[in-house]
Amino acid sequence: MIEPLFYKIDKLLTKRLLIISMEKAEKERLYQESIKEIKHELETLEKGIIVPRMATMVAVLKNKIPYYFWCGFYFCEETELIVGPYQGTLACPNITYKGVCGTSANKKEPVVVPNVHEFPGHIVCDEASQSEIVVPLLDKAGRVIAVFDVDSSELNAFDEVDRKYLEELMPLLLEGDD
Amino acid sequence: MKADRDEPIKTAAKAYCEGKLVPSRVTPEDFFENEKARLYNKATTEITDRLSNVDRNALIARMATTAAVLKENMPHYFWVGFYFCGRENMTVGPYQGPPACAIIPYGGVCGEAADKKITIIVPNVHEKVGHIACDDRSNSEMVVPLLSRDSSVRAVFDVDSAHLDAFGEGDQRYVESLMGIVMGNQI
Repeated sequence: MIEPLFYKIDKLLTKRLLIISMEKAEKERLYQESIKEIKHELETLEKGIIVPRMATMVAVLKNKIPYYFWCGFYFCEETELIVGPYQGTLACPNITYKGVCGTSANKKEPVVVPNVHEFPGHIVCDEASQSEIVVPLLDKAGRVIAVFDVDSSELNAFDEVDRKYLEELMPLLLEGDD
Repeated sequence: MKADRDEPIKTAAKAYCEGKLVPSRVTPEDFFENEKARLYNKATTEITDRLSNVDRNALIARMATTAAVLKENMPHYFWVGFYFCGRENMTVGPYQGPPACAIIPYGGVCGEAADKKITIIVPNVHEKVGHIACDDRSNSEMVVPLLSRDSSVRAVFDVDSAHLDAFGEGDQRYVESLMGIVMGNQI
C-alpha cells in the first residue's frame, strides 16, 4: 500500500512545482498587461476621485490574474478597517487592526503571508483563503489611507513579483490628488 | 400552468441555480419567479445581517457587501454594481464582474433611472436607444436609483444579465427594498 501513496505525493509535488515555475514566467506578463489596461481605464477619470479608481483596479486584476481568489480595499479608519470596492466572495465589512491588513497599515509596508493559518491574529473572512498579500496606500504626507488586500486559495501564491507590481499600481489611485 | 408542464422547467431552474447547466442553454422563462423569490429572500437576510454592524454612513462598504452577496446568490446576474451621480457624469462604485466603464454620461440607462428617479428595466439592451455598451455579453439590464431621505439620487444600482429579458417585477420589488437597506433608511 506504500507505492500508491508515494505516487500520490510525487504527483502533488510535480503539480506544485509546475504551478510555481509557470507563475514566475507568467506573472510578469499578467501584471504588465493589467497595468496597461488599468492605466488606460483610469485616463478617462477626473483627478482625485478614488473609489472608481479602486473599483476599476480590482476588476481588472481579479479578471486577469487566475490565482486571485479575492481582492479589494480596506479603508483605514480610527479604530477599524472598513471594506471598500472588492471582487470575490463576501468579505468582513469591518475588521480590527490585529490582522494582516492592520499589520500592513501600521508598518506602512507590504506584508506577504505564505500561509494565513500560521499568521498570529489572522482574521478569517473566508476559509478558502490560504495565502495573502497586503499593500498599503499612502498619501503624499505618508499617511495610510487604505490597504489593498489579495487572497489566494493556494498556499504561497504571492512573492516579490506581486509585491513589486502592486506597489507600482498604488500611486495610480491618487493621481492628481492634492 | 399544469403540473406536467411545470416539472421540466422546475428541474431546469434547479439545475441552473446549482450551476449544473450551461446558462446560455436555459431561457429566462425557465428561471422560475418563485425560485428568484427564494434566492432574493436569502440574499436579503444575509445583507441585512452583515450591514447591521456597518455604519450607516459607510456607503461604500454597504454597497460592496450588497454587490458581493447578490453576485454570489443570483445566477442570472452577470455584472452587478453601483454608479455614483456626479454633476456632469456618473462614475463607477463597488461592483462584481468584468471591468466596466469607469465613467459614463447621463444619456444611458443609468442616467435615465437617475433623472426620472424610477427603476428602469431593459429586456433587450441592443434595442435600447442611448444604451452604453460596456460589455458585449450583456443582453438585459435593470437600474434602480438610490434615494436619500431628501429624495435626491446619490447613486444607482445597475445589474446586467447575459440573458435577454432576465429581469421582471420580482427583481424590481426585491432590489428596491434592498436599496433602502443599503441607504440605511430602514434601520
